[in-house]
Amino acid sequence: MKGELSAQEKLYRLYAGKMWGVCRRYAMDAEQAKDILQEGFIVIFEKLHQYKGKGSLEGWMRRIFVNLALAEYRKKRLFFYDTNELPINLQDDVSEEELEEAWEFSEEELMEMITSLPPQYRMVFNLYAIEGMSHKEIAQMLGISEGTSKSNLFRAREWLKKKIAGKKEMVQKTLKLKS
Amino acid sequence: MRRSENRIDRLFREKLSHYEAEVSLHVWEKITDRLAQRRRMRLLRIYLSFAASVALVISLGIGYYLGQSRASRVFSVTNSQQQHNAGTLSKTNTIEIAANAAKSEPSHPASHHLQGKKYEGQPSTPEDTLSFDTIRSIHTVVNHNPLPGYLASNPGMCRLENSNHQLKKTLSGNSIQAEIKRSVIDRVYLSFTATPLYSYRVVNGVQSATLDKFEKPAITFSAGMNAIFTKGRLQFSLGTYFTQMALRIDNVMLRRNGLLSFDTYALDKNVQPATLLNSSGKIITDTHEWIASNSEPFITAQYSDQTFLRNDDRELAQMNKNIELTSLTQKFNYLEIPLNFQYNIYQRQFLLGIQAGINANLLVSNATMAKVDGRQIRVGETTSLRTFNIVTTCGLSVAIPFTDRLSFLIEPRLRYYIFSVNRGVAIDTHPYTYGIYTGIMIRY
Repeated sequence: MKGELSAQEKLYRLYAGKMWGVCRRYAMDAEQAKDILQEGFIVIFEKLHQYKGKGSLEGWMRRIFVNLALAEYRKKRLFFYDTNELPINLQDDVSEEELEEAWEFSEEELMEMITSLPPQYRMVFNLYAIEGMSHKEIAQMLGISEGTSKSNLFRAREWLKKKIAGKKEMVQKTLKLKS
Repeated sequence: MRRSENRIDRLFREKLSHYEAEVSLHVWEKITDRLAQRRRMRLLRIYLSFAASVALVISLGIGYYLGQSRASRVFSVTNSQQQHNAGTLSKTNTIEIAANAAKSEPSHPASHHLQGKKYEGQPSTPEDTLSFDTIRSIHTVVNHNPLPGYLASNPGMCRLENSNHQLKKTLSGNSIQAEIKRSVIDRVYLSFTATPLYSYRVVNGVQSATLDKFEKPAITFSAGMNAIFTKGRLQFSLGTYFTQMALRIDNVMLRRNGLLSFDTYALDKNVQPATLLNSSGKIITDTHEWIASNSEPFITAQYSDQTFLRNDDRELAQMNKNIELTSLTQKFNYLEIPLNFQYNIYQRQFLLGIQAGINANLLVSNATMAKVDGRQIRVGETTSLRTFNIVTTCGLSVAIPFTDRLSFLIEPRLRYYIFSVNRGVAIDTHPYTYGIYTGIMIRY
């Protein structure tokens, strides 16, 4: 039992940081991310024997965390307001240059932008843009239509562009104040 | 087909797909705590399954043994009849019954279906006399089903067909003779009952008066089976039940955080994360972001009218509908092994008995549910709960027979938890439940 716990701790130390990133991207906030991280590692420890060595261990673990995050999202979905009606001001759109400059943003800043997305946008954006899934797969996983998935992805991108533009503006104001 | 890549997508994918950061040390501590807890629960489940299986096997084993025992008894009586026919009747197994001995009652009328051909009852000792009803039924059987072939060859004797007990009647004079063998247990039954369960609780502690206002009875259920053994007017039963006990806490406030989710109310989640302390332990929510709280001292200090909504909250609620006043229900699932004793105070056309017993209760799981938009949503679980409890029960039992093997059971029963359901909390909570168990009882 003691040896088992020691092996589990080693596995945790090796992957906790990476999986924390996955949880943060899907979770509403740090507290929810912690809950998913805990739950995910418990599931992994209990189902580790099911890992047959096909594909990387990290990939297998990542799928578990993504599935847990989606389950959490589905569980809480009825509490969310329908944000399809949320206004998006396209005048705040980011220019091509600004988008290039966005590469200078830190990972933490980009993470904050993702976590600020409304849940349904965040889920679709994560699954499509980062996990590389198709709209068909996303529609099946989230129980929505492909059209909704596409629409949510579009809105997520717009939202992020707006955030990038806002961030740039804030940085420029700060620089002006300093000068 | 490779899809064209969006620049926003590429930015976030390349920057975040390998994002890695330090994780709080507390996370590993919580994981080890939960692993240990799960291990304990797994062992408990194994133990519970084993205990329930043993109770079931013992009950069925005893029933089977007694059933076999009756079969051999019939065989031995048949032998003695043959001896009688040969003129060598042993008097030790024969009792004499006066035709007008109407005082005593059969041992178990719920099983004593005297219609038609069957006689199911028997006196508890050979010296007992059978009731007039019994004797009359024997006459009925004899007169309506005279078994002419048998009577023709044995003019002094009559055998009752389809009976577990061989009886014979001497036609000479006013007496009836019956051969009966004593047994430790008269009958074995299986009962299957279920009930909606009304849970209340007794609270001992400083805050009990306050808590009385907020905790309400909840309705759950209990269902299972019993093996019942009877001896004369006494019966005892052993079984396995699944019982859900619950407590409801009203006037809990859920508040949506902005447009997106619920958030804690009244407590700073960083200081005291989304917990709700009540008399049955501390509820810890699954996630920390959206369950509200009704910390009792806070409520009593500020909301003595029990509305919990200040005027500005009400206005806010009306404006964007992001506050909901709802109820939380703590559900406790127990595997129960009841041992009950019953004394039958009336047993003629139906059976009426008083019963009492003790039940071993093992907590299998618990959940805390919130009612949101008309649905019950799991929001967390209660901690600091006692996993093993003893429950005392008392009640009545009514059995109404509708065939020779099947009876309808109605058993109003009160259950009381001897030990507090929570531990490590200043307040002792002893729930009690009331339910009218209904079901069937089958003669084994």
